[in-house]
Amino acid sequence: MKKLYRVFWWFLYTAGAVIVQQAVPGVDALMPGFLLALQENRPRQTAVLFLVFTLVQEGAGSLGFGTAMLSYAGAALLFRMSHGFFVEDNIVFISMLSACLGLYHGLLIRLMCAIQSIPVDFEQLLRESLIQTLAIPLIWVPAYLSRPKNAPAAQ
Amino acid sequence: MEIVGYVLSPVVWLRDRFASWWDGYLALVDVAAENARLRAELEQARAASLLASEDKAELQRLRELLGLEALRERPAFAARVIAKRFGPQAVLKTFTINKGFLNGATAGTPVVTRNGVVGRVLRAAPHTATVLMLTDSGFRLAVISNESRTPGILTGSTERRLEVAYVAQNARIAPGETLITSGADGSFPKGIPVGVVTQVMPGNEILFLQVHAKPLVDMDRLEEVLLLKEKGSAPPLLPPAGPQVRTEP
Repeated sequence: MKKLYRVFWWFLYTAGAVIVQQAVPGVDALMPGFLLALQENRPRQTAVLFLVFTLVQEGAGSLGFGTAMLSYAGAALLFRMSHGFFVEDNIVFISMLSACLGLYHGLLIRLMCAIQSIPVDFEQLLRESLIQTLAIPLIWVPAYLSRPKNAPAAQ
Repeated sequence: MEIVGYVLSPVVWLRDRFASWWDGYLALVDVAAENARLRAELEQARAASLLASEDKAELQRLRELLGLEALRERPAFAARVIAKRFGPQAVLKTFTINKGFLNGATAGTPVVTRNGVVGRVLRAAPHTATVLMLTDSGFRLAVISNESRTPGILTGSTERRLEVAYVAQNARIAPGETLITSGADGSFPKGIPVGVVTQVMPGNEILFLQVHAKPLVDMDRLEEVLLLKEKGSAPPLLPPAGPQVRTEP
C-alpha cells in the first residue's frame, strides 16, 4: 500500500511540475524531483524517473534530442560528486547544487544551440538560469516535506 | 508532448471555469452600485455606438482589403494555446496548442488569428502540437508590402522586432506600410497581414535595405489561434465571398 502511495505521489508531483512549467516558461520543475529520487537512493526508481522526465522534456522542448538526457545525467553526476561532502537532505546542500545546476543549464543550452546553429537570446538564457537556480530549492522543500518517508534503500 | 497535453488540457479547463465563477461572484458583490453606474454609461454608449457602427464598417472593409479572404479559400480550424515556451529546452519562441496531427495540425501548417500571421506548426504529436512563432529568429516568410508592393523575406530576431531581408536599395517601401504574405513560399496563402513597417534604413550590405517591422498580432496575449489546412481538404471556415446564390425551395 505504501509503495502504491509512493508511486501515486510521483504521478502527482509530475502533474504539478508540468503545471509549474506552464506557468513559468523555461524552468525545469521536474529537476527537484529527480534530486529527491537521487537522495532516496533507489536505483530502479531513479532510472524510471530519468526516463519519464527525459521523455517529457525532450518531447515538449524545441532542441534536438539529447539535451534533457545530458541535463539529468549532469545533475546525477554533480550529485554523486558532491553528496559525500555534505548532508544530502539539507537545504544548504540543495541550494549549492541548484547554483551549480543553474550554471550547467546555461552552459548546456548555449552548447546545444551552437551545435544546432540556433541563435541564443543571452539575456533570456541568463534570466532563466537564475530562475532555475531559485526554483530548485523552492520546489524541493515542499516536495521533500510531503514525500512519504521510508528508510533509504541499502547502498 | 502528448503527456504534457493530457496534463495541461484539464488544467486550462479548470482555470477557465474558476475564472468564470470568480467573475460571476465579483459581479454580484456590488451589483446595485454597478447598476446605477451602468445606467449612466448606457447613455454614453448609445452616443458612442453611432460612431462605433461607422468604425465597424471601416474595420470590415479593411479586413476585406487586408486579405482575410484566405479564410474563405482555405479550410481552417481553431486551437487553444495550452502553454508557452514549455520547459527548460524551449529555446525557440514556441507555444503548445491542443490540436495535433490527428486533427490536421501537421508540420508546416500556417497558424493565424483574425489579426494576422502567428507562425507555423513546428512539430506535432497526435493531439498536441508546437507552433514556431513569427518572432523567432529561425522563422522565414515571403512577404510583400501592401502599397509599394515591395517583396522581401520576413524573419524574426532575438530582439522584439521583425526584420525584412533582401529588400532592394531602390525599393519605395516606407514606415507605416502593412506587410502581407506574398504566397510565394507555397505554405501561406497570399494576402494575410503579417506586420507593419517601423523603420527603413540603408543596409550594411550594398544591395539591400535594412527594414524593421512589428507584428500585428500580440504574441504575449494569444489564447486561441486558427490553423489553415491545405486547400480542398475540408470545407472552408467562412462561406465564399461575393454574391450569394439563393436556391428557391
